[in-house]
Amino acid sequence: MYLSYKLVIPLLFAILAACTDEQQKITKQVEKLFKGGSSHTNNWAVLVCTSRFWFNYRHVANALSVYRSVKRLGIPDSQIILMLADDMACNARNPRPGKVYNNKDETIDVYGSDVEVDYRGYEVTVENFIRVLTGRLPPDTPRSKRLSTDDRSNVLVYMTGHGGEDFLKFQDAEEISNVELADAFEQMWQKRRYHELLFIIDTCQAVSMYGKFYSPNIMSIASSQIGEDSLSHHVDPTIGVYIIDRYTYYLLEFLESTRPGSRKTMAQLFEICPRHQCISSTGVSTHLFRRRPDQTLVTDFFGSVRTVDTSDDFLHISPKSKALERSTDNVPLSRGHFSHVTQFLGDQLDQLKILPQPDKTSLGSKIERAASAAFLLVVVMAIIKSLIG
Amino acid sequence: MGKQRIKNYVNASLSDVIPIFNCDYARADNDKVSLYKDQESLSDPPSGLNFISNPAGFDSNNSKFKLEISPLTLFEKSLKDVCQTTNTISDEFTEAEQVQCRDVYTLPSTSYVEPDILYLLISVQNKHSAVEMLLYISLAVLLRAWLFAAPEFVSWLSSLPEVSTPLSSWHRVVEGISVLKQGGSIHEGDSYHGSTLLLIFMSRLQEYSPLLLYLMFATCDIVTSLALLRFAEKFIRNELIDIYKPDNDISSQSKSIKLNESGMKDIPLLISLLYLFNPFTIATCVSKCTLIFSNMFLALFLNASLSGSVFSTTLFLALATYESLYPIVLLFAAALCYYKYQKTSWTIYTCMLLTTLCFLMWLSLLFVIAYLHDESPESIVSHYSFILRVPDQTPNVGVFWYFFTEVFDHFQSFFLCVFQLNVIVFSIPMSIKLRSHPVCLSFILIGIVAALKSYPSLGDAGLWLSILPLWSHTFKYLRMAIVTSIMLITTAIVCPVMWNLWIGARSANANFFFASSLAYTTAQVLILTDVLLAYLKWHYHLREGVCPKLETSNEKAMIRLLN
Repeated sequence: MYLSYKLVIPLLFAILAACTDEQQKITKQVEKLFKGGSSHTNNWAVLVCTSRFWFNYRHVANALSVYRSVKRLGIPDSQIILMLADDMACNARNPRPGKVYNNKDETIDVYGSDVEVDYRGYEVTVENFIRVLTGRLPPDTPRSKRLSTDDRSNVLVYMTGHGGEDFLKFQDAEEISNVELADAFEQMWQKRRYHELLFIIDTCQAVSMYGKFYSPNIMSIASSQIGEDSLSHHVDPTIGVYIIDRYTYYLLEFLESTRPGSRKTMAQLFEICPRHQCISSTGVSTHLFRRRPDQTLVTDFFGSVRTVDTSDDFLHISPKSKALERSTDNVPLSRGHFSHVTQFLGDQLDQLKILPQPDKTSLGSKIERAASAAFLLVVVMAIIKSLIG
Repeated sequence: MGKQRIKNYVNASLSDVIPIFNCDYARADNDKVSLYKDQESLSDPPSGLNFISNPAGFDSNNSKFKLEISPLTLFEKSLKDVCQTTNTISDEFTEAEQVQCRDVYTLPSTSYVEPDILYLLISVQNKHSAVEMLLYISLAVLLRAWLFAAPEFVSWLSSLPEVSTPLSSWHRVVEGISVLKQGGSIHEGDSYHGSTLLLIFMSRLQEYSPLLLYLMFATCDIVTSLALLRFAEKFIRNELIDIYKPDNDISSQSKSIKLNESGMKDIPLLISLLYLFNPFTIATCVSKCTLIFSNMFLALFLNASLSGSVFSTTLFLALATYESLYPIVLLFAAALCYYKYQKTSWTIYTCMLLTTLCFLMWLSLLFVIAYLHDESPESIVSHYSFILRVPDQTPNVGVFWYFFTEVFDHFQSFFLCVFQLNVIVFSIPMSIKLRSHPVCLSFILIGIVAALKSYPSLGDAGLWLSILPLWSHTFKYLRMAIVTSIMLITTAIVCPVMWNLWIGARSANANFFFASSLAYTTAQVLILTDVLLAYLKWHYHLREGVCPKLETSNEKAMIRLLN
């Protein structure tokens, strides 16, 4: 979040002004600006659909629906990483070419003409997903494929596909386990790649996927408990497949009524999709999260809302101003000493070992040469004798 | 009756002349002269040996003549009217061929003219002139040099899986040499899987001059063909001696199938030329596969096994076993050959013991030298473990790769044992059956190993195919000669076609290639079994006569194995 320039210049003048009661009032206002609510400055979203094939249309529609909502609420494409494992809009079986719907009345085309899919098709792999999260991408990766978050970013991670207990299936060929995901998030935390993270997962037995998280500031929502399946909502007879899952359907219903300035809280989000509507019970995990869900806005994660406050007054800024204290400052850093290891080979040339040259003049090699020469001589003599004799 | 002493006769040629007969008495019938050991047996029917003598120098007046011995004694030519029972000796003689004469025998003239003709000498050595052999050798060297001079052709040949296997490929040797130069361990990793000593030898040669390597490959081929030449000569001579020995068990009715020298005299040269100009062999040589050393050592082993010297036999067998593990099945054959052709008279058990001990001595010497290079036991057995474990399933003309690409890991060691046993187990029953025919035993075992080993190639078959004419006298007993020979040639041509369809044109799959290579292996096995059966039938008829009657039957029942 940037202070608008209208605020900077007056603030500079405020340094010259004497401390007044006005100053105190301003300080309180700025404190409220920074402290009231989340202290994040930018929003990112990582939306992942892990299934391919035509009959998993609904997973792509899920991801695209959340993408649409998130874009509508303000997160720009440059800060959304959209990973779709298959192309439904241009699939040969799609009777509505170029369009993806999430409802059978086909009112909203969630694909649209301005969709930006960052990882498509076979690029959606477990490796790429973890590389995106942890930032360990090859140096030539374009910026649109990088998650360039910092310690003031709120990240929304939405995953949908086929899952099971403790795993999520990617592309029908591989899986990511909950431990891997937890470790990826911990890497993000240690590299200070998020401020707060909301993890939503809409698969079968989804609760198991967030069971192993251990990094702070993560809130998780899952669409089904262990032993339960997340079910799809309805079929579109024109398209011929299920086109949306229940949890995401109700999530969308909730988000469609949210506007950028909305004060809806996460606690209200937790209540969508009760059992009688979703058939599965949702799961929620907030024990790692510092703030209370009823004080956390939905737009903290789903939107990119800038809190802007204008003032004509001056503010005296000191380095140790209480207003600027970060909520994360009293969190202990990494538990051990780790050093950075270069990942890609170009940096490691100096570490190649040179093999030691053989010692040619040692006694052992002399004996060996003499013995082999003698044996060779014996063999050659035997050959000649046998050929002639 | 006059006694004519028949002396041993020594011929000045390279071959040694076998004194077969030490007889004191000779009797001539119409066209036959028979030799007898003592006077009493003179009345026995003649044993059927025919001889000729040279007309030149015959002086009928005083029955003194110069006996000239033809080295190409032709058994079937008859001495028409040479000797008659009326004791006159006619002037008509048959023509002799090349003449080499050493001794002059003067017969005392007596009033009785008993058969005066002496006899001697069977030297069945064909002395092809050295010039002739040199001509063929230089032709072969020129052909190989011409092919070596086309590097694209050489690299294309090296890429053919039928010719070069992971065990013998030249690319791997090059990698091994470069690893050796940098001081690393040869057998670590998946580059070179042959024997250590061979690699050291080739890297040292390469240090002197790269041209030496080409020369070495051509030399190996030449040495192999010369070894096969000598081997064939020795074998044929031994077979003829066995058959014409007076106290053998050959039936008199088997005259039509007995060996005769005229039919056999061209065979050694044919065998060596077959090896030199065989496309399989040329492919192996030009693509610089290390299989050429295996073949050379096997040919030298075959040659030495007939020489009666246990040291050279086991030396070459140990070298061949060190190169590729499978020649160890020939240990029994070596022992049996030594027993049969020994100059001493030990029992079979002593021979077996001696052979095994010598073999182990040479093999351990090789292991010690290999160990000295690297001071690690891996350098001794790593190529054996590659041959036995078959970790590399690159397609070749064998039967291992296709099966082991799809076998479950759980069963892999079981099927490994089964397949390796399949190669090795034939040595024991064959050794028992063919214990009196050790050369045939060697041939069959070489053929089986070549067909069924873990990484076979065309060069393996080239060796035993070129030895095949050695049994041409048994070919009338072959049952499926046309089918199997055409099958072999066709599948050998179809294999590269299927490979190209599969890998190059991408329109076939592995099954096509495996089918053709399986048919190739089947053709080899069929030829081997056919030849073996023909040999055994021929031997049976030799012993029992061509149409032996059944003993138990009064009727005219005959056993007839001839087709």
